[in-house]
Amino acid sequence: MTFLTNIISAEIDSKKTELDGKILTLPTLMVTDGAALIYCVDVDVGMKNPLRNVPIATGASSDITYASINNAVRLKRSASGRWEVYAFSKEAPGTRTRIPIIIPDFAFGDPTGGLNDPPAMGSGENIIVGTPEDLTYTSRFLTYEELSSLGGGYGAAPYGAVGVYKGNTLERIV
Amino acid sequence: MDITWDSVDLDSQRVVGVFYHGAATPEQMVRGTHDDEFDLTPYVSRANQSQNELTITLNWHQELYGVSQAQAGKLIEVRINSTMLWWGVIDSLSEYRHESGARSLNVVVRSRDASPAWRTVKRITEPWPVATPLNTIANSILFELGLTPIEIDLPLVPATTVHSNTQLANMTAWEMLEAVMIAVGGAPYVSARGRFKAINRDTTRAPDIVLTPDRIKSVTSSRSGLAPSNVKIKWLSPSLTKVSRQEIMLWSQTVTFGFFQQKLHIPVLYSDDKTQRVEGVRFVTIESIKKGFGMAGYIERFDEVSIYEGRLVLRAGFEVGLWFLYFGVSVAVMAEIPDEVPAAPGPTIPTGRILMVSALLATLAVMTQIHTGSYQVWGTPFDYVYGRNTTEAYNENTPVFAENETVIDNDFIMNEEMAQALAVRELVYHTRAAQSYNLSIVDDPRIEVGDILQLPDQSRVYVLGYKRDLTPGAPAILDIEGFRV
Repeated sequence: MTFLTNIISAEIDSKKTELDGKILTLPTLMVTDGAALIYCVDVDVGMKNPLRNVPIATGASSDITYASINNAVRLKRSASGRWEVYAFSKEAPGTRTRIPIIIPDFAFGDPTGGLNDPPAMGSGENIIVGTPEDLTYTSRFLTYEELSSLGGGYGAAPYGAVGVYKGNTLERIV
Repeated sequence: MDITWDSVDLDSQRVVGVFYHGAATPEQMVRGTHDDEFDLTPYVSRANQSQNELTITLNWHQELYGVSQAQAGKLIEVRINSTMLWWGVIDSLSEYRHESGARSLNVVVRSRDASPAWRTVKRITEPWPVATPLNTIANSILFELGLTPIEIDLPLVPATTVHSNTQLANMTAWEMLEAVMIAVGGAPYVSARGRFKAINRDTTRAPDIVLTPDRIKSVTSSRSGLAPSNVKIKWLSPSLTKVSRQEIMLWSQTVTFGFFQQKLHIPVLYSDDKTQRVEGVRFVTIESIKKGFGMAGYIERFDEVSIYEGRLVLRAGFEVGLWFLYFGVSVAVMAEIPDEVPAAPGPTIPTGRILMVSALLATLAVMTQIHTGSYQVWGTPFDYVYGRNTTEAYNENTPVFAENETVIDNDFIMNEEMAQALAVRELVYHTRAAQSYNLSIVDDPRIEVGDILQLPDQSRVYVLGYKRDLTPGAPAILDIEGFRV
């Protein structure tokens, strides 16, 4: 793709007012004054870190309050610029994989420095491709065994506790 | 690389010819069956050619008036040593000068892909089913542009679409071709002879041409711009993911049922528009109709019709209606039975009334079988969603303050391996492209955009463009623009 195409895509991305995301935690009451009830969730939007404590919009369908983990939702910016969950979606962030690469830089001039039989430059020999790393955010309910071994022993985390994983690494228990 | 050519020998004479084709079609030019040429060579005072453009200055007295004069939209061909080098479509005619004894005209000719039909007009393709080869999609786009199979030179690739109903919409033809070809490591290119080809974006492959020291005139290099630190590929996962919500109450209703109805079927829709799919359906009886007097034998159950709906079934014992009918008729029949008058004087024996009242009581007993039931249906709604996967290649040597991200959206990716290969290839390409490497070498018509040239010091150059001066008497030098790989 040309650079111009990528620039146009980036510009379109910056103007977006809606995002697709994946719920990582069950809807939880965030704050109440005794009258207003605001439920919020953590949402993976396909970036390095998930959005935390995203409120469910006031006008959203009541079904959203009964969303479960890994559900696909659509977020919209409120008038104040805050992201809110307002509907279910048909698309959600999927896998996220990162591959480290070492690409050496070139100096000006003869890379051999006048040596005979120099090492070959380019041709990919000096480019090192590392092991791909899975950084996909997923959530699941902890098993009985995990409840007994994680977070301070059995009883520390309640039944129905949700574990948020980044790849195969448990990040936190909710 | 165009293998039909040989490199120009050192200190040899390059015979350049420029020809005007007033009636030839692009297909005839590609096939070599054009026969309407008019030789402009004697009138060319200046000519410069690159991969996309040719500019010539014509000087004449009277010869180029009438049908011999170049017209916009017609074709111009350049030959070297009587072999076709390049042809294009006349884009503009400018700076026409008419003065005593001389006329001059500048003509700008562009390659066939440098036109609004390829680069500006938005198009839409037909929908392609799953497993459609990407070659088929690329060919379809090219046929839409008027190309014939002889004008297309694409290699077969083993990649296909993985989604049902893939369709490209509101994109120019060039953007469509870029999107299709980048997934398999290629880029669209129209060769000097007008054939559509794919150039290879893999910068780590072996060189196409190895240059000897005597063919290199000069090298200039620069390092400019911030190379991308990471390239992200965003692609739609070919497999759907099932997601379930929490269990909720889908339906509740209070129903009155009894002797007056043999059976009652109530449809239970899990959503108003019957689009919500549900699993783990649970039927909860809040108040059962069986608690009604004499209704223990009644049937109440819930049938799952599909994942979108169910059915509540209430049924009375099959004999209830019959009993009601029987006893109702009995009342009428018993009413005809008279009371008995005793033989000896005494009170009337109310035989008939006793029988009638008995039948009436039995009828009333059936009629007490009426009760109100309250039911709920609970279930777990579920749905299938698409995953938008992200595969990212990043340069470990880049410091945080030099972070510069490039995002590529492409739905022709079949699997994670293909995405990783694309991410790595594009990161290497864009990183290398930050270091420009320009050469002036002895002319070599074999060289095309996308070729990798190896220099005597083993440095390599990826060709992005070239130009040559074809003015009569000009040295046979090819100026190459590219970047170090």
